[in-house]
Amino acid sequence: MATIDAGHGDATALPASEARTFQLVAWLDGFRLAFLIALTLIVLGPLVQILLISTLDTVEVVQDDWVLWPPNLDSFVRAWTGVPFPRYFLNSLIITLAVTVGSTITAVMAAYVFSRAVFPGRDVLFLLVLGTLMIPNHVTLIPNYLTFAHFRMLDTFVALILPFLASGFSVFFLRQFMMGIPKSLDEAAVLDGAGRWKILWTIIVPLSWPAIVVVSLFAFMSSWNEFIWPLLATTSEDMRTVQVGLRYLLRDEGTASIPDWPLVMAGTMITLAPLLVVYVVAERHLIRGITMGSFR
Amino acid sequence: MRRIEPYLYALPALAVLLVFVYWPIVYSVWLSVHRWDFLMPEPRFVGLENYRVMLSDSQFQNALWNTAVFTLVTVPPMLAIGLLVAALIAPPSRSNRFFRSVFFMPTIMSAVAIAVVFDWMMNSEIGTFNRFLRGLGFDGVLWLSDPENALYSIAVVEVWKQFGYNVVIYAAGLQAIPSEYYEAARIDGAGPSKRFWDITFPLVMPTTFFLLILSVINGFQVYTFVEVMTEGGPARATEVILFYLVRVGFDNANVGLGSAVALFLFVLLMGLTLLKMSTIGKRVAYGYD
Repeated sequence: MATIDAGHGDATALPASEARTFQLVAWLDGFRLAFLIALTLIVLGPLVQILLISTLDTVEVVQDDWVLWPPNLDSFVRAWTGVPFPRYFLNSLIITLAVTVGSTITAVMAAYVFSRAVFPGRDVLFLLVLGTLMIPNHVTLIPNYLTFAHFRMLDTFVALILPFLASGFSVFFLRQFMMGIPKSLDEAAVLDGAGRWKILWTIIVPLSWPAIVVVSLFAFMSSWNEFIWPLLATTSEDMRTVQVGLRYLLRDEGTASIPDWPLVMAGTMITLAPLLVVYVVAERHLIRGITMGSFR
Repeated sequence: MRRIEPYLYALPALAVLLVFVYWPIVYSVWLSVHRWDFLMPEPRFVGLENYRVMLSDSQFQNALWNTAVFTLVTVPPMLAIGLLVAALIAPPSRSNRFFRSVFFMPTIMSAVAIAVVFDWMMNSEIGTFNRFLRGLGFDGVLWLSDPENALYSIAVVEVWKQFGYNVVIYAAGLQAIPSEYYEAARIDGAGPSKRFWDITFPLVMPTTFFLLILSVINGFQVYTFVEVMTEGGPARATEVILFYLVRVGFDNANVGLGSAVALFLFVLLMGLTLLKMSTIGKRVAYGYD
């Protein structure tokens, strides 16, 4: 940054007042950096705690002296074999993949006609989609629970996937993007005899890729992190997602036992791992999506 | 066929939204004017009785109060830290990008996982915070087990998780302010703090407004931290509206009362949501007027 360079410059050659300003700027910049580094430590600290504690054993964790080296990976083994964490992980994976792919496809198709087709009722239907952005999730909990209970489908993958197969946000975000694709491209394709379906997949989808990436990332994150619905809609241990499994790993219902902290932290690490991997790979797209579509 | 074709494209998304978003609202309204629980297996029309019960229930009032306090103590620090940090890292440089990525990371992390980690760190016996305090010679604090502290401890977790979102949005807002403004102010001899209060602060006001409403909406829907860390306790000190809704509607299976609570919160948030929608598009363009 320019301000840092200023600090290294030959300050004595400048008039006294300017030299003082430069010193102040350099000092402020040092302070700025110290503050940002402190904040970084505050943000990363809890993550380091997860890693450290997951490598301890249950006796060590309550003591004051932790032996951190060599790391003891026993808690991960226990999380993977002692409790049904692989099952939770598999459930979460199935649900998240189905929701991510499904909600993106329904959104691409809807956004396509909302952005370029002309048909009666289009704007009303689009407003209907937009309206869902104003409806908080919690209003749907009791009715959706009763709906699935009525069809005896609680505690199934259908109940955990189906309600999330469409997203008003995804439709809206993709439509905004597709509006920017020149209509002349479709018209040229129509002259070549291409139908709507072919135009969608050979022209619109490839050109909308940046927006599709953003929308599917959001779907992935929110589906993986979804907690309250799977908590309410699952009754058997076999249907739990990682979020619900982790919650009961910390404190099982009714029992006031002390958590098995290394095991809990291993479970936490497993829960966070896919998110952190995706974040490292796609952070750029996520932040772009957040700043473009901060209507959520 | 060609005429109905466009409808078929929109149908899958519309069908799901109609069945799982719009129908629930209609159904909730119906449920909220019926009594339907363990003692009353067949729903019976009771008019506004559920709403009367809700409003006169001291536990509901307590939940509403806790939610309001939680929102009030989380939103100002989240906005202040967000703007301060965004102002510090707004110039696009490699190190600033790194800081932005780090600060944004907690917002994408699972709330359950974060609640678990803070549950550990705030453990009064062996948690990180009290180990640290004792190391400095202070007494440990009952972060989560004292009714006086628990709600504020959860508020700390919320700020930790969410401030990075505000940083990102503010940073985008700051980049939209033309740099000539700052240069002109510098030539006029305005120092960093004057430049902040006379240029930055007023010009990001639309962003602030947007984030304020968004944070209030989110604050009123806090649930996961409470469910995982305190289960509403101790002594209902952290019972927030959504927790009350789930306790009444699911644990007590009183779906009529639960639906009344859901609709109450919905209407409360509706006004805010409409305000938020009205800010779309005005936000970034402001500086160029």
